[in-house]
Amino acid sequence: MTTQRIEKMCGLLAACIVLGLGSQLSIAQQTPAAARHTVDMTVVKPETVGFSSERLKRLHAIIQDEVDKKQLSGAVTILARHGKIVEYRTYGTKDMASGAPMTKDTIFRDYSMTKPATGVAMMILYEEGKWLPSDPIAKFIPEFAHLKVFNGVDANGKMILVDPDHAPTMRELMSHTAGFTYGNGNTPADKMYGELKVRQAKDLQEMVDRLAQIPLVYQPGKAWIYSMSMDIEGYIVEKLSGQTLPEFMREQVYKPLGMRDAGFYVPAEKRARFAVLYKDNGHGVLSPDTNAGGMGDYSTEPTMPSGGGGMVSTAEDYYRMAQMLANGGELNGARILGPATVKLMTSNHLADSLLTGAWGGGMHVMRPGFGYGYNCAVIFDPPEANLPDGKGTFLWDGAAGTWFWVDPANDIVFVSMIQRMTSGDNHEIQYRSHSAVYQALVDAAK
Amino acid sequence: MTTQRIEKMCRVLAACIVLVLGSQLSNAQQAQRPAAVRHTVDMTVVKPETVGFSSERLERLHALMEQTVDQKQLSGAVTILARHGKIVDYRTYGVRDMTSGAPMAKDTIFRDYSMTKPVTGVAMMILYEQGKWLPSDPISKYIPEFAHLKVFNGVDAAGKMILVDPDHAPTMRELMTHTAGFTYGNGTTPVDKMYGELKVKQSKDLQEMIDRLAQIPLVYQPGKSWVYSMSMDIEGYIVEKLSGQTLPEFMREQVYKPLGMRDAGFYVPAEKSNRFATLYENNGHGGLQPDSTNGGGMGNFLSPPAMPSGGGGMVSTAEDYYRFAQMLGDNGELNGARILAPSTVKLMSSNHVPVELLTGGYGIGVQQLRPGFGYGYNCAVAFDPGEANLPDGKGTFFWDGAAGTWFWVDPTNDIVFVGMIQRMQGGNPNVEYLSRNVVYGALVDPAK
Repeated sequence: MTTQRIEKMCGLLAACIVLGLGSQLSIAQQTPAAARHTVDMTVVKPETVGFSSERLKRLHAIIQDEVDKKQLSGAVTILARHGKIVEYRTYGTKDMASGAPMTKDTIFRDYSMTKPATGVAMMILYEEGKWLPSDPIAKFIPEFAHLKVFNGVDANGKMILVDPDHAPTMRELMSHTAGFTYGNGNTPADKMYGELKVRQAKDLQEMVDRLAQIPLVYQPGKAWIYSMSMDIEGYIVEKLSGQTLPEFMREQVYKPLGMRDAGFYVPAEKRARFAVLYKDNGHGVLSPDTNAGGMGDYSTEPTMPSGGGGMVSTAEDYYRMAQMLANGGELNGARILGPATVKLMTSNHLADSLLTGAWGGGMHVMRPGFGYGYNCAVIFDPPEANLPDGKGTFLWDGAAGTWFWVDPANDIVFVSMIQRMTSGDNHEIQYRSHSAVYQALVDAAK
Repeated sequence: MTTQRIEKMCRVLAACIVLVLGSQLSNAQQAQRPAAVRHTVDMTVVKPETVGFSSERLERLHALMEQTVDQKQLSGAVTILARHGKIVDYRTYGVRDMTSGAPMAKDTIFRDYSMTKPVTGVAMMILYEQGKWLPSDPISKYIPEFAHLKVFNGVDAAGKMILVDPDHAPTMRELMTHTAGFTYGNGTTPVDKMYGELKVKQSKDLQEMIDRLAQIPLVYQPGKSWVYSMSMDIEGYIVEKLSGQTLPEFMREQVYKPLGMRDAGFYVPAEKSNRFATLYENNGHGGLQPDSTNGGGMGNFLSPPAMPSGGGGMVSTAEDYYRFAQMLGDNGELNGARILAPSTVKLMSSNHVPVELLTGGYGIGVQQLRPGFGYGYNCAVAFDPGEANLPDGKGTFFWDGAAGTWFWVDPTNDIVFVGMIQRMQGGNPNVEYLSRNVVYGALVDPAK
């Protein structure tokens, strides 16, 4: 054998190794839940995990354009794949009056993005054997044992009440199908939410006592209506754990995941980092929202902590929780949930009969391919739902426009924090960001 | 670069290739593992971490069972959890007899009741593989006594049953899925009453049971409903007829013996009676009392039954039932004993109930048929666990017994679980389903 021939052979062998490693990688990618990522917030070159830097500029343009047009004060966005951050950017200001720039440590009102975090708390208790999806809610809240169901009004305009076909279940509570609402509908039952000041209750016990007087708005399981169900879950977390909801979240979720600024209020020493909340003044111009959706100024720990909307956090805090879910329940060695439990939480639980386009919250319309798990929406058939995401992508957003999604098929996590109370424009940004991110994923096999 | 050095480099490269290919192979094996790998079961308990479980998190299973025993909701229990054919948890809790305080032991014998059904299903599938029957066959092909069954269609003004012909002759497929039209006689119709009046369950042998059933109309049109029933007792009769053996003989030779199910049978012989667990029932006041139902009408299990019940007559240890379940988990084979082919196990454990019956309107006890949760041959199937609100892997099949025993086989995660207790009439907590919460919560590394 000549030296030349041996060298040639070595070259072939080396090529084989590369091929071998390549196919190994592709096998590993098929099981994103299994791969544990160490998250250190270092930003890597997008190309290393399959994104095109060039194409990602379209994502920047979408958000920058809104800031330039003064439709957003600012934003913080995080995009990650395989647990590597490929984008971590700030846009605009956190206060348009002072011009203080948006920073990575800016704190935001998460509003309904609290719901998935409360879902995680519930699933921690589920794993401890504390409840089953088939359990009636009344097993944990006896106050709800005699709830009636609204069934229209009689000739005198009085509510007709009937018994529920079945006692509403925990499964239904976790998927907005139990019969509760937010009181925003036009039925007399909805009106009672306002009359009894359910959302202004002094604590969760008073909230439950008031809810116990209000009929369900529909037969359990027969509709999907966005509701205070996750506030009710917050009460159940307290009852099953013996801790307050904020305590439980702090010990079981925030602390192990390193969510340093997550909480139910912004303490004095962090107020300077708290973004100003804006709303459209009705003429396409933003002005500060002083009422904060009825949630107060977040200056002290609330007496009625809201599992449906009470959380504040930085973008990084929320990213850490989302990445934990993407990793199958674990982040940097902190095991919060088992992979099967994350799967259960993020599987569609709505019957096909509810996925007809007739139900939804904001722009999240329940439709073929787009359903709801426990405390989050699920795109279980993305093409059917007309979305570019990977199968099983789960997501939700908040009243101030914050949004996130976790795509287990492509191992992508995206978090974006803004502070503009909900209007049509925010919605466009949210779903346009899905298009912008997926058009930039040019090498999904990486 | 010298030739020698180049050759050395090549050897290193070649070694690398072997390593790479080797780890690739192990990845491939993982992906196909349940179907491809045959496990040798020796009941040795391995460290949970070796097959992806967290020991720390499995403590929740122990806590669940211990608390339930401490609260006197159970006399005791034996549980076995296995993955990839390796046992990771094999524990006893509490006592076998609350009066004497005799501790629960691994060799304690339990009444399986309806957990007999999947075993009878395997007997039927053995005969299926021998070409003895087809799912499309009318039941009356094997039981001519059933050739003229009528169907109950309400009562007339005089309170007399209105009987109509079946839309089609009930089939073997329907018999295997509780959709043929039979019942247990626990409903409120005049048909249900006839089960009691004719003492079907008290027949002196399977032939008499058939003769009595032949006089009773079906309670619904075949295929139009799912009602838990004596169908698996009827299967027991068919096993006898097709094999020429008694059901206990057939089970012994074809299932128990090859699988090493040493204490499985249809009664507990005298020399083993000191290992037989006492049966309890919920006393209605949050506690337990000795069973008052004569073993659910099945007697004391201390002598061979005149009418061996394919629907509920079996007794076994936890290990016996685990061996049976692991055989199914291993696609029909255990330790070299081939009982069924993989495709037959797949057929048996696939959903066969049409979706229009999976609406939550049918079921028995804690087993409600619903979207994602159907019924195969003699066992329930979670064919879409997410939709069914279960943490199990896709295709998990399972059943339970009247005394609370339960098991499941999860072919996706290659998990087998068996839990043996002796509490009639249910009760709290629902350890059958809560055990899934804690087991799947402990599976932290499913790729292992």
